[in-house]
Amino acid sequence: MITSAHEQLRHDHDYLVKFLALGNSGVGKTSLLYQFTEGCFNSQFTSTVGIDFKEKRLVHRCSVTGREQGVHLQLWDTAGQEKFRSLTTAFYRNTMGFILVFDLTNEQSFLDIRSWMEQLRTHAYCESPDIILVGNKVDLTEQHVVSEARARDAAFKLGVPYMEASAATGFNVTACVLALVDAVLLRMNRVVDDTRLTLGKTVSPDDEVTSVCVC
Amino acid sequence: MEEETLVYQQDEVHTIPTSLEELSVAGRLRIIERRHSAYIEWRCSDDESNPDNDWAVVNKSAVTFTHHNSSGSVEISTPRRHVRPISVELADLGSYKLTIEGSLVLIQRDGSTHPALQFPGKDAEYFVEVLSRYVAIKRSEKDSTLFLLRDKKTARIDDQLSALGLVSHASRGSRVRKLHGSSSSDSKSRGSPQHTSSSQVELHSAVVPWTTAAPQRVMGFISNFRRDPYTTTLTTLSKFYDIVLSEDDWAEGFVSERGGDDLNPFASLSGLDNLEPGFQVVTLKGKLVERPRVERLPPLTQLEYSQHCDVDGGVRDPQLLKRRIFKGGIHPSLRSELWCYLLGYYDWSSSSAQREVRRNERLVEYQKLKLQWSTMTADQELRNSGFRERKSLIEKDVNRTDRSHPFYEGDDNPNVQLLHNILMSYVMFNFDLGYVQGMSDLLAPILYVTQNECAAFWCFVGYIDIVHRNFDMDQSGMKEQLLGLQHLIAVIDPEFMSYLESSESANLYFCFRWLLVRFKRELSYSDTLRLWEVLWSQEPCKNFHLLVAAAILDHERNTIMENKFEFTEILKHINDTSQRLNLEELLCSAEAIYEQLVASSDVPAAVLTLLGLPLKPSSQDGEADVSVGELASEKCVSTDEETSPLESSRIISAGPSSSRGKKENFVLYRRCDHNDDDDFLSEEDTSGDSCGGAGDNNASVVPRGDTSATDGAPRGLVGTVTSILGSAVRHIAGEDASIDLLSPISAALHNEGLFEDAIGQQYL
Repeated sequence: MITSAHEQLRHDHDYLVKFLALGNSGVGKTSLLYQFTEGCFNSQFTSTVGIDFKEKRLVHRCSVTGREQGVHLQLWDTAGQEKFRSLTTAFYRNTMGFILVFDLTNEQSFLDIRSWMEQLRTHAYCESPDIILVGNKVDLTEQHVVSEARARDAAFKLGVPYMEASAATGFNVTACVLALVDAVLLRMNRVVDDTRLTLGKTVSPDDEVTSVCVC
Repeated sequence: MEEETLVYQQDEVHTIPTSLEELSVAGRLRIIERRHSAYIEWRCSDDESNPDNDWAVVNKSAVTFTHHNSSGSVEISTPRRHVRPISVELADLGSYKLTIEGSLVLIQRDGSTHPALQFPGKDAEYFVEVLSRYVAIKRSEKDSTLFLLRDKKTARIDDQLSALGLVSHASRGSRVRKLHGSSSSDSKSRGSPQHTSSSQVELHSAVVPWTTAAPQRVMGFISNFRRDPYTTTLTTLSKFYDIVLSEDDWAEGFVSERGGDDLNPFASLSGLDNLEPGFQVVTLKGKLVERPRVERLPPLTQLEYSQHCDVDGGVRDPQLLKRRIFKGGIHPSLRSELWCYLLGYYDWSSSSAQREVRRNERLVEYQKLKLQWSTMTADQELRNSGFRERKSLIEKDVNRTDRSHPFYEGDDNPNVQLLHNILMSYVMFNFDLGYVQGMSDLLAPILYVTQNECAAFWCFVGYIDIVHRNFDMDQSGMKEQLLGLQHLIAVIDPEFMSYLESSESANLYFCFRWLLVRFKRELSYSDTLRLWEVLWSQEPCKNFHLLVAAAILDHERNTIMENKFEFTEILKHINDTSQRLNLEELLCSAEAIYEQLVASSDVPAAVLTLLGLPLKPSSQDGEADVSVGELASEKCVSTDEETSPLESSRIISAGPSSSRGKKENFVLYRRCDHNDDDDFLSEEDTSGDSCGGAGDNNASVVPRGDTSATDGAPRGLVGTVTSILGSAVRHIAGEDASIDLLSPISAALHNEGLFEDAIGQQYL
């Protein structure tokens, strides 16, 4: 049959949700995504060249409606260096949620959040896409140069939720991603009849079943 | 523990190492029924005791790879490999590749591709038999090692559809092959670098090759029409238009492209499968000559090298030596010396004494550069954000460059510090370029080979001179390469290019990593070293790395097309293919493609220029025109992507093909399904838009040259084609008893006879 590979997915009730991780080089984008999909930390990562993505299927219970939905999560990973932006911004438009990461031990990565937000608002599908700001490397307490209060304040001014996490220990990683899933699904459910994104059905019971609260 | 039923089990199924650095790992392959679905699982044997362990680290202390370098030290690399267990639910399995030697690669529907497994005794028959209880298995017509899986129910529906009699089945019998029979033709095409062409030859030798796939073509055509009626109609139109305008040319072009003189010229109507969305070049390009068989040589040895040198130690004929390096690479023991020549640190003609002088001069220079950054005080750094930024990037990257390689592994490895020093010195050497991610990947193998900080620095300088466009601020060098690769593929494999366009993948982003770090992430270390020295030889033409990229894509094209992969699946498949490429085979293919292009007469000027080949006098007039048209229209397409609505289509003429003296050739560029990923290319400077009247949103035929005869034809044809499509769709929807294909065409065209023949041949 002439159907695309997407359509051939046997699940007929999943939402395909695409996220993109952004942030300066070396803040831990790849590690966060890897920790989320594989549940472990690999300290020997290489820098991301070009683009890549990881996938995970899960069942999500909406924090507001309590409705359960199958979600096929596609997590896109990008190179952090500014020079590669002309490549990576091409992927912004297909993205429903952005995981904007900075490194709590790196002042510059925090300062650059503003410029990432500008990039994002210019190239995303809409003016106010769903974003979560993540302060990574929370486990390296000794080396922190960005305080939680300062980060919260910045997030508040930018109008985005903020969470601290550690890709190394796994702390809060799932919570961050799921908070964003929740926000995106809420938005999607508000859009009635948006059947375009419907992909497939259920997820096997051993997949993660989680209910989430947004902080 | 949940209930599972073991339905198949095979021990001693090995992984297949792709390089000397890797060990083969034995494991157990099983098919298991669990919760009403079936799974294929493979697990490393050593890992059996702990089934929950996700990763098995296989680290056997055997020394399999020794590397003697010139300084006399011996490198020992410990074979080490993370062997990941495989578990695939059958419903997720899209296809598999199974060779006659019994190697199996599982490919999922989402593009995920698993490492190759080797069946003991080369015998996978029982595995396939068990598998076929669950799914319908069909051998690909294009690649005899590729097997496509379908749900049994879907397969039944498909069969019923094709039994509807939409298409002539006259030749069906001749094409039916035993599913897993190992006919001699299969083994012939297997494993050969030119597998594509040979399997195509096989296809053409069959009686009427296009008809078996015709039901799918009709379905494809209709599904395209549903998805995007506008562009589907216009492509169809363009094909008919070609027939009307230059049927001789067209017939000739198509027959030769199909590779069989016995084929009816209207075979191309079978090209309904080509009516995919995306833009597509429908020129009447002459066929390329067949790809020759290419042999490679063993690496250049010390003994052979000494014969290239004169008494003073200079190289007598650098060109000859470079040619030799291209054909076989360099023996590891010679690398550290010869790389210095290839990368411009030494002059080929220099004597041993002159090189000694050179080394000393360069050492002084290097030390100066090194002092410049190492004496920078913290206070100074505070006021130098450009420096700080570069430094911080370098520090981050050297700590994650090749850290699993023995030369760079472990905490506080001094070689990591050397990487840092060299990159920092390069920042002082070329502050504007500075440091860009990817550079550390390019440096690490050089330092590993030269084992000398200063030599590595100057070799690195030479390498960056070659690839600096990869690191342009606006990435224009990368864009140009991707565009060049597009041109190449469009010439050597138009069908594949057309497929990529229809699947929103024509931007070739999935090749970005290949090009940026020159395939380093795709190859094992030893293969990377080999490939690089081959590329540095600058033989046999410039941009040979694009031919290597084309060779990889050529190798994957059937898998991609038969699985109907779209952008994300292709990206996943391509990323998964990394570390599994057979370099020598690829280099043979790449060289064969080169030879093929050199020997062919109708290669567009854009491709000749790309490879630095002389423009051929015979083709210069007409073909040069066409390629200018191609470039221009490509830009034009990019321009309007930013401004026009999604389903914009373009028909752009590329000027008359004066070389053949025919009326007109049209290059049709189609755009549809606005691809959001196109920004990257659309940022090209398009101010020099030369596409004439193609700037409005309606498709327009813009013939250049004397084409008075064609006025009015397009509009009639649009209507015609649309009505055919309409009736086709109605038929499928069950409203019409039959497809009324002939009448609208004959009404609209004067060339009815031709069309009746053509369509009759196909559908009646």
